[in-house]
Amino acid sequence: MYKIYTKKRCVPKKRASKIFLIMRLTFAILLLALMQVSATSLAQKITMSKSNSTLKSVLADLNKQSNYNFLYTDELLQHAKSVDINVKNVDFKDVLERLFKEQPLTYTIEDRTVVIKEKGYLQRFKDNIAGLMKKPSLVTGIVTDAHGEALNGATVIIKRTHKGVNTDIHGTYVLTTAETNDTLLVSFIGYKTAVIAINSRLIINIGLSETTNPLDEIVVQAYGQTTTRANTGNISHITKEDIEKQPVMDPLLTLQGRVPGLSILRQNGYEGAPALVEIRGRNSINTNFSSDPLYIIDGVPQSSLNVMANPILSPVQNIANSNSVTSRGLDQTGMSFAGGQNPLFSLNPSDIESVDVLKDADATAIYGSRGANGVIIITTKKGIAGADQVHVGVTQGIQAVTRYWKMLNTDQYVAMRKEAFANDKITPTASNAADILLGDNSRYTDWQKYVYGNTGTWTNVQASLSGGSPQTTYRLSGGYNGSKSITTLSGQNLRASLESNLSVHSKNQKFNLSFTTNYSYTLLNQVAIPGVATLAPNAPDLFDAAGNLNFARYRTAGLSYPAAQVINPYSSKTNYLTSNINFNYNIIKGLVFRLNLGYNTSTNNQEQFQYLASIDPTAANRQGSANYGTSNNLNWLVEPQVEYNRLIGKGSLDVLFGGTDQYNSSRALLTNGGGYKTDALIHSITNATTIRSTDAFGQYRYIGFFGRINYAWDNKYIVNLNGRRDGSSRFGPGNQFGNFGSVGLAWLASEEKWLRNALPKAISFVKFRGSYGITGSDGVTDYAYLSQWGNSSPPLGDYNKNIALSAQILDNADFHWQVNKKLEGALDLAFFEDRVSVEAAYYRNRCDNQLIAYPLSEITGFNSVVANSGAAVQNSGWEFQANAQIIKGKSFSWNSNFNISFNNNILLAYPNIQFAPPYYLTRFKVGASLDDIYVYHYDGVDPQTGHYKYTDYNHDGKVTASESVPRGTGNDDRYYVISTKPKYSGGMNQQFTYKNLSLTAFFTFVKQIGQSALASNNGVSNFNISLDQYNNRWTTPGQTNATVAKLTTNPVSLNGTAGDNSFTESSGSYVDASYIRLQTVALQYSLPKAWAAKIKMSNLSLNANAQNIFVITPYKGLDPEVRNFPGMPPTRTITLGLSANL
Amino acid sequence: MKLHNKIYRRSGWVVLCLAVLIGVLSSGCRKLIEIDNPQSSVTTTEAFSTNALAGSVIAGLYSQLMSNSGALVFSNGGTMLYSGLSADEFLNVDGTVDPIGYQFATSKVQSLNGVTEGVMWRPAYKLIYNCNVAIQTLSASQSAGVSASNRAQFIAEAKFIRAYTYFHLVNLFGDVPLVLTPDLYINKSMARTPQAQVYDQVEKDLLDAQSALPTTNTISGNASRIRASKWAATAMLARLYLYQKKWQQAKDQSTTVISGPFSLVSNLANVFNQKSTEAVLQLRQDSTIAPYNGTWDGNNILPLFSWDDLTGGAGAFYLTDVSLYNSLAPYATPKYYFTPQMANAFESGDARYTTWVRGTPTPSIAPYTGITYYYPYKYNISVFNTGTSPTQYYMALRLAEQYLIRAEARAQLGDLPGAAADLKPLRTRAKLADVPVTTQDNMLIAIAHERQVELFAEGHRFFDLKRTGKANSVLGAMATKQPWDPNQLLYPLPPNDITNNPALIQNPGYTN
Repeated sequence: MYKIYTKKRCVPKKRASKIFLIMRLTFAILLLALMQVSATSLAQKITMSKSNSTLKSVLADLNKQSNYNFLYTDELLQHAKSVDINVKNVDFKDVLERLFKEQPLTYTIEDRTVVIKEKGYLQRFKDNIAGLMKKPSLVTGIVTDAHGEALNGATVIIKRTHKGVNTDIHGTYVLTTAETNDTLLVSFIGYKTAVIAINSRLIINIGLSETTNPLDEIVVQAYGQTTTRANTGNISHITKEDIEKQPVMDPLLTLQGRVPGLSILRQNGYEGAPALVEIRGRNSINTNFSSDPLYIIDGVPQSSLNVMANPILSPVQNIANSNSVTSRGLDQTGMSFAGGQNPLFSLNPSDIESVDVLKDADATAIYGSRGANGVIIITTKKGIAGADQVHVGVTQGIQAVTRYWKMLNTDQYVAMRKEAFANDKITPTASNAADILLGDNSRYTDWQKYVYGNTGTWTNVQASLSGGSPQTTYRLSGGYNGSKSITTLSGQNLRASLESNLSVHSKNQKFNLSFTTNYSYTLLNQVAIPGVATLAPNAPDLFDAAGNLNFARYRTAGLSYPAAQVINPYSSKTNYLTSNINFNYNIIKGLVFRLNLGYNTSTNNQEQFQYLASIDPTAANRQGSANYGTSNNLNWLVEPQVEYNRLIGKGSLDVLFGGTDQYNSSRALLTNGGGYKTDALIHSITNATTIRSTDAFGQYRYIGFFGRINYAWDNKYIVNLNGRRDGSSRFGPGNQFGNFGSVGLAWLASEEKWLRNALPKAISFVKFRGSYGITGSDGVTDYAYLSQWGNSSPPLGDYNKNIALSAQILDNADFHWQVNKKLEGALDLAFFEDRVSVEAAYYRNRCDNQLIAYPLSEITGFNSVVANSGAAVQNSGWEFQANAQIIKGKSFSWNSNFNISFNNNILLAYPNIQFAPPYYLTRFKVGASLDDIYVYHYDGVDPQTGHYKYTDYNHDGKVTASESVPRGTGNDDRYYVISTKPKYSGGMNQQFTYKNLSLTAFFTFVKQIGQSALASNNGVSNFNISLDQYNNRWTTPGQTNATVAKLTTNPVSLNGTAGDNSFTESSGSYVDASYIRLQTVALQYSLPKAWAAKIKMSNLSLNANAQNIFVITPYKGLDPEVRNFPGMPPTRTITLGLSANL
Repeated sequence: MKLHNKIYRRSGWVVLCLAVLIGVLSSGCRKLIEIDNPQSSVTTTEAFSTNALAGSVIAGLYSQLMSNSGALVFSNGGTMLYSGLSADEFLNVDGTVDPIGYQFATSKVQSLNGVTEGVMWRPAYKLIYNCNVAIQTLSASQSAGVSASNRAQFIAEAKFIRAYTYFHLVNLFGDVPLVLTPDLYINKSMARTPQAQVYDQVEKDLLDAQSALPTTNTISGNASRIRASKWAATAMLARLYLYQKKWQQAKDQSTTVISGPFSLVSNLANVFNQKSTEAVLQLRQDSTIAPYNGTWDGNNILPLFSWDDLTGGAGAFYLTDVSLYNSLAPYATPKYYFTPQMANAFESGDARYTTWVRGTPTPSIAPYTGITYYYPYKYNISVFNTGTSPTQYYMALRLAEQYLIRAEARAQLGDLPGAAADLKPLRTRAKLADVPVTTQDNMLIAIAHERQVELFAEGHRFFDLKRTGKANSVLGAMATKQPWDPNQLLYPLPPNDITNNPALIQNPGYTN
């Protein structure tokens, strides 16, 4: 009675053989309990003699001789070795043992069945190692992290020889050349290097702890990770702690002042507004060429094409959009009052793990042309294996304006106006002085308080759940962030977001997959903020008793109504989804195949209504109108990569090859409905009597092949080579591809013994690094190489019901890649066991072959064509960074960091600048900065006449401006140079921790010149001025201490020479606008663990944060940053929050 | 041995992975960066690949002549207005408050004035670029999508429009660069071509157009002559030969037109209506874009309402009180009005004066002087309505001019009775007696006068004065144009263009 069970296993034959192949090649150790064979009642005696037989036949024989059944599959036995056996009356158990000893199989006995299985990993390893164990030089073991998880790719080096190996995916290593008294150096990125003496041991398992040395903390580089110590390029790393502490909705703004060389200027006070972001200055003379760096969110680039050229918009909005070099982002219609929508606004700052800013050629070259303006890599939070963690955080706060400016009260205002009339020798009448003669002079309104006096609110609720097993980790988080602006009339802005991340590792750790999805919804409400902060203090109420716009009262006061736009609603709703899958497959030890797939889409819908109620009832031909805008953005990305990593000689070699295929499209549709005769019907386009629509669509495709070879010899000399070939759809046939590359070098001098001994002990680290590279740029309009016949530019009417087409652009198939050459040299120093580190970097970026709109005579049919120009722009400068753990005690610690950067921008060359388009010709000078502007030189207030005086530079008897000649030449007297960019800027962070209490203070500072607020308009109707201005005015002939011209109702130019109205165009209106701002203060108290545990929490902390606490500045006005009074000043936000981990 | 094996196997993997990677990415990597062509436009190749698309390009040429982007250009009223100001036809009501109008009215045009570049030079050369691409592409391509007859007609229409444009350019600017291809590298540094050479090209284009264009325009239909036909090319040729003083050819070409299917409209009020039997070529406006259902002439000149429409003595009543008049004047005053020379040019009893001229009087109380602002009333729509069908089209070529061309050609050739006979139908329509046949000089004076009163406010006067050599004596005698500068007979080239193309030389008397 026996039976042989055979069953088909579902492992395909080929793979099985592969597994065996690898098994034979792998020296793996798992020193865990061996599988036990249950050995009960195995007393039967067996006799057999076979040579070169199959295992199957032997088993069949055994089966006959015993009363045991065997369970196996044919496949299992396929790789069994042939058997030679010769036994006589031997125990069944001994026969089995002998039989399977040499086989790649093992067995267990269950009841009376022998189950045959693949020899366990352990078992086989034990067999394999048996021979090796005999060698005295062998050392083996597993490298894990503090949680016991295997570290794949950790380096184990014999200190004596500087040679070693990397661990495999199971964390195991085998060193065959070690001697019994050697010392091992075990390191892994982000962990403390362990120094371990072998001491004749054969098996050494090593647990690494995470580093506390800032030099060894992980920074994210292009397609990988590195550390400050090993890095050859320039990368600045910002952690989640820095970001979370700032109560701002827009994550981009949290980077202000954190990174030397990174300048972020929000274009206006509207939430979500686009920001002018420049890394190391402005590279292009082409004002249509965005300076935006490449944003990469979890490997997916976030970009949008500016597709709509001439939106049909109200004049208000067109002004906001004019001449902007920032991308319009998620709002491609340009409808927004903010001039677009910053794409990063859709990202919840609480989901950000870290932000890395890549600046030099070495760090950015592998991104090719996309990285020409620098790269900002944003990594979102991921789950961590371990117990499930629930985190809930609630923050509530208020926003208010920091200060008001002293303006004239009604009495002073009336006196001021009367003086202006007296100066002008004009008699005030009802028609020219309605504000003081027809107005109610007993009224007083502080208009600043009226518009900015409200308190805004700030709410932030975050919840997340994370955890997982070594195989699977996850994180789910949801956030709500809302703020209500301080302006009385503005609505609420909010963002709701949901992020999920799932990481799955195969059991053998060879394969892993990470999937991240980020969805958010944002709502922005905006109104055109009226410039009423400078209204006359006696101006009538904006609203009448019934709550309607007070047109009538303003009319009787002889004034035009200033705030009609405030009742016209505007909303912008954005749905944003970004999603990314990252596959990793460890083919063999050291060789990884990766595939990164990314997808990002956004839909933005906007509505804006021009109510009839906002139009003066007495106006002729009143009509309401409605604008609807829709923008769609789509990005997708495929990036296959292969990375190979191994130790060769005394060094570690890392080779990466890969490719990028990226697609981007943007679409905009703007519909304008007009002719509404009642506000009741205005919310539907159906009721419009005239409807106009324009749409625009753009596509961009980009591919690149790249390779990176990094070799670090003995942790002393590091060379990093990047090369790539880029192809862009923005170029015509034959010009689509360009080759670019970089080389980065680093010398860790402090690793040299001779230097080590020569250096004072305090200096613990010395590193020199440098890089040079060439990257391309393709920042031109899409399709500029392609002939285009269409109907939008100019918009042609039909001809006799035939659609009319005309040539839209002058196509030029000959332009090619713009070239950026970047050079960097840096010195990294660390002191006192790396507790203090200092970095000094010098860079020089040159950009030539600039892509510009090349000016043409109109006889060609057009006035410009896209072409490469010889213009070359250079940005150079210094950046310094310092980090210090000043006190590092058991209960008290003090960390400090500081950064400062200087940039110098120069137009190096512009061949034939005399033929440049007037815009360039009149503003740019070779040898000067692109950021310079030219103004009249201010000569003070004339003591006799009380008018402003300016230098007559060309001595022609008149001070005049001309838009057709370069500034300061010919009949233009504006020769005086004002630099609009800061001389230097930076930030400083101080963090104190005492037991469970921590305090952070973050300062930013800028040294710059800026235009003073309220520089003109002294005495003009209905326009209030500051007390400071009033007190310093000229009043009597011979007065020499006046700094403000005499009051006048009509500041105009006199006799063709620049007059009081040109003051803002003179050096006199430019003042020191430098400042130091306490940007953020964050106070946090965590309940002691024991207390928290009592309320069933693992952690409970309270925090109080504040943004924009105070500003130290010589600048007179509301704020040295937002200088365009009465523009909306920056607010102060103070929040209180509670954060709990369950 | 084992180690070698290991390395061998590893490199095998690396090679395999790289091969797959490079294979995937480089297989047609050029294809990978190909993107769809723009959705809102087509390429040149596509634009001339079908009858419909090529037809749209040609429609685009006419649209640029007439509607453009809803802006005034040389061909839809720009030449009429500004050359009329430069000549002795118009003055601007606002005087110095309207500095551009004032520059032209006083013949003190500056290099940078916004008009000579924006209304004339730029749109003309843009149109020429479009014509050049059309002519070149249609001639070179043999795409089956465009039928042979359409191809021939489209090329001919483009040539006609190119010739029409160059004709205006040389009369406005003198020598101009003769751009005949779309080639950027040739055009960007091209110098000015002598006017005679430009005329030769105009003649060549018109002769080509004349031989290829149909007599009845099958596309627009014969009744509304809104696309170039053989007749339009012939009429332009007649005008060109007149300007070139090739009298015999001028006579022959005009004779062809006069014997064609055209007839003078007896009611003067209807001459400029759409489908006018007198029209050889009219341009049709698109009523969704400015000037909507009107014309630029109506828009630029006509007041919102006509004083003549005030009934029951209301007009006279308003003139008695300055403040009453002030309330009405902004709506009743034309922006441009006739010079005294123009207003007084009409013989008494001329029906053209009563039908085609209107006037807005002013009070004879200070600050007014009691003068009347006369203005042309050939086009009668002053308030535009979007979407309303136009009743009048813009007249580019009409039969009356052909009579005048032949009259002048005959007079120059010595055929004085023939000349008088050609003036007769126009004078009869205007309810005036015939011109007596005396001397050639008298006849030429009579013809010049007849041109002035028949073709006023149609863009002829300035060119006529220049081509007949009378400009300096006539214009130089005007008080408004003192001190007279003969350089004002040619307009300035745009200074920007001279900057961008130093081969261009500015006309004398102007700064760059």
